[in-house]
Amino acid sequence: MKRKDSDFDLVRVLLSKSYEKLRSEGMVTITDEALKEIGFDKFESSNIERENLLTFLNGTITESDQGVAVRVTEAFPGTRRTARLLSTAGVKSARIPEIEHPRQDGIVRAHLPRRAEQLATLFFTKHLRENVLGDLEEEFETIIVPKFGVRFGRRWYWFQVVRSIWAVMGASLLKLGLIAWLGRVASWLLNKTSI
Amino acid sequence: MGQNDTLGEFEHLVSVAIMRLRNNAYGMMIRTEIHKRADRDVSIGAVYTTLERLEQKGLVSSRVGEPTPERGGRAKRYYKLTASGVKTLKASRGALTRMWKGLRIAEA
Repeated sequence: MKRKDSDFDLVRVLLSKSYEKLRSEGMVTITDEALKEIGFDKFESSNIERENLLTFLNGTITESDQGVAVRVTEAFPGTRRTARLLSTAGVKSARIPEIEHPRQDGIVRAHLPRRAEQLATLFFTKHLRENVLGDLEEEFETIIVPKFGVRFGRRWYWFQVVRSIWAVMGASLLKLGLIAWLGRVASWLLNKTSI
Repeated sequence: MGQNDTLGEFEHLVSVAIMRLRNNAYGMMIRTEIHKRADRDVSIGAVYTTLERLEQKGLVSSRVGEPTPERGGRAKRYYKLTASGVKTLKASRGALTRMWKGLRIAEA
């Protein structure tokens, strides 16, 4: 179920309430009390071992039918935040654009090329997408950008996404090609025997 | 010998990387380990495709870890070899060793 704009406001409240802690730790857990204040029944914040984690790509939050767990991650400090709603039923997320907060630590984190991420979504299964994009983002943030810079990092990310799509789709395309070729051979044999 | 008893070359590399990394075997680390030791720059998609295949064969198992900020809040998926995976890896290494025994490649 797609939620209304007002639901985004709830997440904005979560973000603003937790900002100081979030900024110092990179990730923060909201307390039960804080969550109840803004209308959620229940949440969990750790030991999340779910099979159905979804990648966020746009600003939609989907209702969960079980207790809701909330984790807020400052993915792009200063310019963009990511809010995640986790539940036993699944994970649905929302991107919260442009929340103004002063930058005090002086660290500028790079933006991932979101179009590359969206492209990956078209080709990868939910399960694969979570793993591949998570690993790429980690490598981008912790190794590539610090070592080679943002510009190279963004190109690297695109290249890795395209390579990964090829690796995933290549095998399927080869199978399809083989089936098509076998079909042609079978058809040729049938024609030959019928003459 | 069934299909489950054999490993392809890349499956072999991935399995050895998992064994080397022990409790820290997830996609990025496996990819890095293969690059470092085998000098093969493979895509993360290829690593996960192989991991999924190995999991389907029952040679590796996986668990989901904690989401981390540097992964945009996504969780890591850690892999480990199953007993069957270890057995298959040993058999695969044994087969290669036996094939190479007594053989020398002349320098070009």
